[in-house]
Amino acid sequence: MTQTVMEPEQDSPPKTPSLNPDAFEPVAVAFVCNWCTYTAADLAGTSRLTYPDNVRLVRVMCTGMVDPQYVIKAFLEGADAVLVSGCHPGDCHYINGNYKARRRIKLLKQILPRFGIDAQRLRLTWIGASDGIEFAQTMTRFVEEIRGLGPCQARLQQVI
Amino acid sequence: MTDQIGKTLVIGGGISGIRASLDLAQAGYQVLLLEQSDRVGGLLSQLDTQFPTSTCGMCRMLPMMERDRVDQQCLRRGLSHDNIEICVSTDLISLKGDPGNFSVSFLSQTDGGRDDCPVLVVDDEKIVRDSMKEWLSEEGYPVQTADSAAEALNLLAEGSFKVMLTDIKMPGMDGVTLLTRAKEIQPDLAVVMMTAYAAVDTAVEAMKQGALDYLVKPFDPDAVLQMVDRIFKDAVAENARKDTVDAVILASGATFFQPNLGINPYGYGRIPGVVTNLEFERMLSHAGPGGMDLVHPVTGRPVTRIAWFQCVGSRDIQTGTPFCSSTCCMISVKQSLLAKTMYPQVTEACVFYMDLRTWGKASDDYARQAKKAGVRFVRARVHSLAPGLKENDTGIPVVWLDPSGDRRESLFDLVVLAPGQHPDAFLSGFAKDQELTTDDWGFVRPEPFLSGHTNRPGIFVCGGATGPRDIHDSVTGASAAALSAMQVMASAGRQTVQNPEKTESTGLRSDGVSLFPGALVIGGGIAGMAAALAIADQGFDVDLVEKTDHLGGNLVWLQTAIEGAGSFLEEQTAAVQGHDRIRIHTRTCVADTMGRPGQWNTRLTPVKDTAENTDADRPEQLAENGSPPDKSSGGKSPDVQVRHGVVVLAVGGAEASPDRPLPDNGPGIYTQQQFQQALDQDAIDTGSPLHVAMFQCQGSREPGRDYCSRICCPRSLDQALRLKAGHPDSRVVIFYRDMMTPGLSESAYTEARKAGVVFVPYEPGNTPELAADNTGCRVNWTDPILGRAMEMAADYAVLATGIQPGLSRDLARLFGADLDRSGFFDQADIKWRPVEAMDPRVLACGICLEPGNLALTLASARAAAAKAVSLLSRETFFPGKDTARVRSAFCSLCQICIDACPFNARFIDPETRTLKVDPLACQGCGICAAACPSGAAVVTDRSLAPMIKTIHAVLNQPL
Amino acid sequence: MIASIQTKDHSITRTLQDFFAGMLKTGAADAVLVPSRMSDSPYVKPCLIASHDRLDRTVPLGPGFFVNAGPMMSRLTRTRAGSTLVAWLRPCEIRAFVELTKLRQGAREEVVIIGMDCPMALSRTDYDDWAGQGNDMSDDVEKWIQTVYQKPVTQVDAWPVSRACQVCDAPYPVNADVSVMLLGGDLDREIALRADTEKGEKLLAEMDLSEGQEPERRKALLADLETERTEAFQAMDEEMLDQTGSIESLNRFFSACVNCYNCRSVCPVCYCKECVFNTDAVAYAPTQYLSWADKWGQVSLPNDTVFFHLTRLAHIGCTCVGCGQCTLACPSHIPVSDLFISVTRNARKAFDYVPGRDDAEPLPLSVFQESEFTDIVGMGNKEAT
Repeated sequence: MTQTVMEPEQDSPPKTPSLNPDAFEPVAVAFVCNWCTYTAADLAGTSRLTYPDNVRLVRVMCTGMVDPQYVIKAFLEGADAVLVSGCHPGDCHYINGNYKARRRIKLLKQILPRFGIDAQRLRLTWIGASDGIEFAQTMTRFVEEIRGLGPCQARLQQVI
Repeated sequence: MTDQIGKTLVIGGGISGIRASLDLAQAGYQVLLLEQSDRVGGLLSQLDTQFPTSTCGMCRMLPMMERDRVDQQCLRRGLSHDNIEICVSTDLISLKGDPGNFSVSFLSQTDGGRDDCPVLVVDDEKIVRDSMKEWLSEEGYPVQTADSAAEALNLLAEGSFKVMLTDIKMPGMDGVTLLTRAKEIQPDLAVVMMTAYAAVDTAVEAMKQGALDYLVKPFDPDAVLQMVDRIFKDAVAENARKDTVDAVILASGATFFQPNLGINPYGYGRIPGVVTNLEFERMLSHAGPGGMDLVHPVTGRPVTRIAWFQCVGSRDIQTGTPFCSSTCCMISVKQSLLAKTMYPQVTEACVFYMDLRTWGKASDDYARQAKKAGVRFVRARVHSLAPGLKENDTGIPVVWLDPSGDRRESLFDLVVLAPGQHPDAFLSGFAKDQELTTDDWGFVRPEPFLSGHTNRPGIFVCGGATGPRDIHDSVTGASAAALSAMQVMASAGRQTVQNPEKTESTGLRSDGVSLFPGALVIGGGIAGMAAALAIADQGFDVDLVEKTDHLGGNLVWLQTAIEGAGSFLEEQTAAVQGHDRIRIHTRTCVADTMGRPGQWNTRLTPVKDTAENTDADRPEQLAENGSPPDKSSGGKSPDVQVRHGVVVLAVGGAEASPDRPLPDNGPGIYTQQQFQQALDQDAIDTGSPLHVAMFQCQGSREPGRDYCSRICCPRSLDQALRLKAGHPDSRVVIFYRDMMTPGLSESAYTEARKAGVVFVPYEPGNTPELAADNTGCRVNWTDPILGRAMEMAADYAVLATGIQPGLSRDLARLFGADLDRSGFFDQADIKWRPVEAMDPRVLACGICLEPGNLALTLASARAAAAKAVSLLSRETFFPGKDTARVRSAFCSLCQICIDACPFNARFIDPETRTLKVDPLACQGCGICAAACPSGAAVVTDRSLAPMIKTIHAVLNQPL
Repeated sequence: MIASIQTKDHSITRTLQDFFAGMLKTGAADAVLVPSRMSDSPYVKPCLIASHDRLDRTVPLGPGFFVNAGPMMSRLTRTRAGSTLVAWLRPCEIRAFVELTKLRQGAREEVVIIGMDCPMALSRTDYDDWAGQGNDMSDDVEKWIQTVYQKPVTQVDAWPVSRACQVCDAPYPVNADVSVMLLGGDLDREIALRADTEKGEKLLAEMDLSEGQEPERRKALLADLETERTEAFQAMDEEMLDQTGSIESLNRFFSACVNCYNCRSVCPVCYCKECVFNTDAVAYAPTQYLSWADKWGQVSLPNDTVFFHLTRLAHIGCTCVGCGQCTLACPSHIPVSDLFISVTRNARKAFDYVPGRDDAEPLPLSVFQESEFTDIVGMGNKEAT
């Protein structure tokens, strides 16, 4: 889904208003595991729980599938925050993917803050299949916290 | 009919039904799965986590191979497999026929629901009207009530009903007259008379006048429901959908006892803070009524002190449920542990129990975790929550006596009752309709030695319908039942669904993968024999390896102790020896193996002649089928190479050795096995009054052997009863920690107490002292209730030491498996994959897998066989498009991906020195792709290139 | 056991050359790996020498550090060769080789590692300068040796050693088979060697050396070295936070980067046969470039510069051995190792991991515990599991 070249006579405001720091709407990416957190997201939906739509869900089979490069790329592509969410320890469909994810996120949290990407912009949560409420609450809280932190300056300019 | 695909009906969509359905579907058969409620998952879908872990993992039941056929999603969201037709909200209307040809009719509740079947209840007693209305409307029937025949006639004139339940003796017009009048208004009205015991004759008379049937007071809600259900089903039968199936598996589960229906309801229904364990489970769940908080259901205040009362409606003669419901102790252990760990606000979690039944392989350890987390376990039975007791602001007062007789009292915010299980209305009705043999409490009684078989050929049973079961036993039994269904379909000549057209995949090798078409079963005990027979009966070659010179394993010495086991063993041995697809290799062991899993080439080698390999009591050698004869001069038979696609480890185990020295013979200290053998060989004079002390848990449930072996308590009871039957004056004292007689084996415990066997509990670390010399034994202990030192002289002391597995780590590792902490086969998942290693081609059964009795051993053997047959019956597997691939040009052979793969699906091919993926072990998780820094490991849609595109796309969507 | 070699002709270089020749003559080694010049050029590279009369061009100790020998050791030990290799390695080369063995890129079984207190290194430009003094290079080398082992220095004459060396926190042999203890030694007279393993003992025994002892001043000098290096690292760390503390400034730090990937090529722990940045993963469709240009107004090419460096930081986050080759090799003179050493030395603390110190210590991302790092899990509103 790529954007087409801008129409010549297009008026402001810009196509992606989120680039304007005065009207800040956080944009976040959440890598959610297919088995637990995605089911919780589904449950939140069927339970008609509302939460802000600033978080773009990317379904992965397992949090262990989240390569550190996905997180880095997400920030460089303009995410204000990244959430990785999967099964509770012991519940992973693939046995131990979430433990591996935990280590990778830990490492990223040692690296990214050195470049001004606040550690709070990268989160790891365990959200189980029945935790629809927790999913909605987490999304809501996540967005509000990021709103408080402001735009990630990585996305205010082009850095790839 | 040739080319017809085999089809099985599975009744009940709980976990047992799901497991059986998936096993059959994976083998290529079709399944019709009927479920009465509106979703699959049964009871388990209401439990976020299940013991003996604090996790779920239900999704691990899904097939590991051919994943394209089944939706990859959490089972709480739903189940969808190409070969399974799932009908929820569906009632089974009728079932008739024989194996290979059952006619089943069923109806979706939307097509003819109970709400089209209004019921009129006529009784002058309000309590009868109200309770009938409650029971029936809960099942979905619209109910109206009338307090007199006159009012009933008015109602009948106004509206139409399908069923009328009427009392006979009422003031004014009586029931029989009402019957006649009602039939005039509405001839097709089904009328059921309700009567007290004394007036049954009148009811029978009424039937001659058009009543359909009668019910006797006091009413059992199940009987009422069954009656009305029968009428309803007959009425809608002509709208029902019909189908023909080859076999039937009953997996309809059980239901929980309702505490308020018992003589001692513990205030349930009256005191709001008293809840059942299922209700509490929902309170714990974040999807439950309290959301993320644990609060009192009425006051809404945070719950801080919780008590669990075990055995409510179990082990209770007064409620007609003298059996143990097997799972309640562990449920309470789990709930108390979770309450403490999930909610730091919980300061007091207290479980009141009689015997803490932690009998599964990992259950004892789980209970220890709870203790460590601060859960208090109090051996006491709370008498009641006093009538008239008001729950005050400070909580519910609970009073109990501690072992020394002192009165203790404590306040709790919540009291969780652990009610037992019993058959539900559907099961009672179905068992009656199908004339299934049930036990005294209404559960279906499986045929002895044929786990999962009912008395009706072609109808099999598993799960809670056979009695209270935990997940592990249910899942094992479900696979065993699936095997039975497969056997029916195979003998009816049915086919399986062959692989669909190869799945399209870009750049993926779409060659199929095959397993070598044979099975290697290691261990010739009853488990190995049963597995070998089952696999061979399905048309596959089996090599059965046994290190001693005879088959039968432990059952050889145990057969006299179990009724019918002797002839069963004889039959099985004859069947194995006579089977043309089984090659038996006695005095043989596995030397080594080559090849990848599923394509093993294993070398069998003769065992060296040592005393332990020959059984001195069995002079005749059983012939080896198909193997070169063993030369008595000591020459060795040559090694044999066996190709096989699956391996079943059934090497068994033995009684664990005690830590005390034992005398050679004569009066003194025996192990349980020795004592059993002595009894069976009449070496013990049971005809004279003996003094026998039995000690349970000798070395068990302690560091070093920290599991319960499950068989020792029932065995000790059996021996005790035998001694008592031999002479009523025999004195038998059993020193125990917890009497592990879950389920229906509880009756032996009851019987033993009635027969005068004395039971003395002891705490670990405070074992009674046992001394012995050539005059006999002496036991010294401090009685927990009297608080006094006691002494007993005994002719015999019997130490129950439990089971030690006989599986060597080397053998397990040869096939890529391993041992768990206790030395048993490390199963992939104790709940959801109990008979498999992580690699589904490696299976195990019997007591090398887990301790258990003959029934469990046979169930696990059949379950393992079911898995083996499912795999072997596929000619070719086509790996799905989510199978990992290796781009060798990028690969530096660092093996990070091999370390990362949870399924051992990656290896370095020694010939080409390249990294390869076993397409049948790979689960497509993508963990390898994330671990690989260079992009050599890729999984379609799950590696860097596609993910980068996705990330770019989601971040460039406008808000 | 500690042995000693008598220095001959006041030339440490010659002494060491004879030492290597000796082990080739006796057969204690089938080959040795030592830095060596090629022809008349002053540049040195690891050289595999099997013949005892070919050691005259070797420069065992000197400021020339053109190649981290770790990956070379990989190539020489990828499979069994049935011969004994004695490798003369700097501390960071040992660390690199050990890390590579954890990644199955080589093995230690047939290798005897001789490590030494590090002679440090100069940048390419400075090396050219230093080597072009017009003297006989061997004199320059001896002077270098005498200077750097007398006491901790960060400069020899006019030439400062590379920043990576200035902040190196382990400039002495760790996890070697034999350690050559040069710091504080009376090198005109003798060179002390300590056997650290059985293999090392065996080698020294075969060389028939006299007994020796650790130079008296060595421990104190090592302590001084540690203090200086720690301070220097802290200064560099703060500098890096200052210069790259935001994505914008990071971008500026790499504004001269042209994606030549030299830093990656010379990095000893960047072991991939093919880097992911050479694959289809970053071969974006032209529409993606246009999309970027549309979003931000412009796209500087080549793309994925910062992405490359951040990825490399994530990939070698725990295994960077601080050798500084990346800076030495960068044609744009970007102090890559300043950044990488700062980030990685801090990052690996989270796992209590030090690369190279223990062959059996698994790579942090290859293992896990069931309960760990609970501080990073959850949104902070309840007990994390």
